[in-house]
Amino acid sequence: MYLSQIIQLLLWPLVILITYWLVRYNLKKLNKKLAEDGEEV
Amino acid sequence: MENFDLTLVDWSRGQFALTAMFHWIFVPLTLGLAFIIAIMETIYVRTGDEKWKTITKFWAKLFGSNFAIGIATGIILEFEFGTNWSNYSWFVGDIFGAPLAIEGIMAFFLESTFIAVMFFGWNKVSKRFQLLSTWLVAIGANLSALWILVANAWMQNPVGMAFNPDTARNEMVDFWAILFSPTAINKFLHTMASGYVLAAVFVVGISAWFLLKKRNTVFAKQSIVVASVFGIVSSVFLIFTGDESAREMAKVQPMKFAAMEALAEGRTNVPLIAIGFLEQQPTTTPDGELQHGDFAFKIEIPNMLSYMTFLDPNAYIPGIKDLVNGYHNPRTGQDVPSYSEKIRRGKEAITTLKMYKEALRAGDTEKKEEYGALFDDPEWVESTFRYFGFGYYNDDNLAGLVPNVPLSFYSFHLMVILSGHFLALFVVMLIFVLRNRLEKMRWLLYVAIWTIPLVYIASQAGWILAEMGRQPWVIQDLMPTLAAVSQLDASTVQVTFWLFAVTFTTLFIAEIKIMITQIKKGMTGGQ
Repeated sequence: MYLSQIIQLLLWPLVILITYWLVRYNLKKLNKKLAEDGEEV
Repeated sequence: MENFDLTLVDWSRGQFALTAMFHWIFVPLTLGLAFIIAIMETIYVRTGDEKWKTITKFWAKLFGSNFAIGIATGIILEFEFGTNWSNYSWFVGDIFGAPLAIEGIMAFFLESTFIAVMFFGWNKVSKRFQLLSTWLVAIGANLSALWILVANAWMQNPVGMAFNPDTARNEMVDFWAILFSPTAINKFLHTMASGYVLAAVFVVGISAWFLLKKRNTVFAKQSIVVASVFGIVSSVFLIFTGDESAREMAKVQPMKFAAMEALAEGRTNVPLIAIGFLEQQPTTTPDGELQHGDFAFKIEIPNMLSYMTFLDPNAYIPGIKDLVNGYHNPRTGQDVPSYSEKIRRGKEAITTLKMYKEALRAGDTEKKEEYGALFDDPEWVESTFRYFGFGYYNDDNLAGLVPNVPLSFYSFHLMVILSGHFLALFVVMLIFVLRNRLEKMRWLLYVAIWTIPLVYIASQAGWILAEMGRQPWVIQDLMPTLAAVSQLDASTVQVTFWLFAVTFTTLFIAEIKIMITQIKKGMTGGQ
């Protein structure tokens, strides 16, 4: 009962969690590039 | 119809729309920015890098002023249910009041309590408690929106209730059906995602301004990474939830669905209108026939609307004329009654309620039981009482039962087209910030800044579709908007409308000035 709606609701924290992982990954890439270009991180 | 003061109805609607639209300038930013700040602060706590504390505090300052005005205008909205929409509050207050009360007790207290720690707790509480408070504010703000959106979704798709003829009120019989109605869940997720996209555009746009001014460039680039990633993930989620919302709408609000695609006549293999310009709003001829304006120009994708709605390119979708005149749905095999028939059944439901009330007053137990039994009969409720709202209308102006088609169509298409622009902007900004080439692409930075007003327009357009597409109903098929207003003198509503308009404009100017001052101070507070 209401299982599909509950599963849909769980996507909400998943969006935040996926964002956090991708932010950490992309920040590492940015910081590496900034260091290569001589910008202070 | 003739018993209603339509001037009063229009001004009451105008006042509520004004307050709601002003409220919605601030709320979506709060919803999304809270999570962006929470993610930034988490990076600070995990890495111990003081720069992330500085970034977090900068965005938190912008969050703070938004939060305050968002709450103040939200309270005005709740008061307006009582002052301007007391008939509505009477008719469905037993249902609508519950989510609003839960919102106040649970979510609002949660965010209001921890926001104090979020702002004033730095160096006074531990880093981890400070971080926990920020996350709780973000979750609280979103949960607060959940309950409001559950209440709104119930107006789009009234479920989990029963009508009590003794009080002439609708009463909640199944809380979980209301909370977990597919309309409610889709509305919550879609609205949240739109708030996240708005906040991401805001952060990207402000950060682009810093890059143009060559100030706090590293802070700005790091902010762009956080916001672009959040924007991309949220945009994908926005598309997914928007698709789900539209499918649900096709089931429970077929007229709104037909209006937002300006689908005049039902057919199979319905194309999706990518871009189009409408000739006119549907009208009723003197002999009661509904006339629909066609497109002056359109670009369409064959079969796409049928496919997107029912995952079948050959699926039948009813148009506005079919919904008004009645139709046989080849997909479900059902005969859907015409609006004239629904009006007849609605009048029968209203008359039955009047007879029940008269029997009650006269102490005629036999008649009271006879009429009262109908309200307990699921078959009668389904075939007749569900069209209660139609009984307020006459069948001489059926176009009056059709929402504003051009407004629904344009607001929907504007929202969709702009959402595509936002996703493209996030992707491009992320690609070029990671290559450290953004500063050389000044045109892109200008695009990012000018996308800030566009995201607010898209966000408002979504609500215009949701609320205007439901008209003339305040509760779909159950209560017309004109029957929901408080019996006030129209002039009193006109006075408060202009008072609110002046107050909101002043607050808006003040808010913009505060924001600009904070932004100009820079991310490090004075560089």
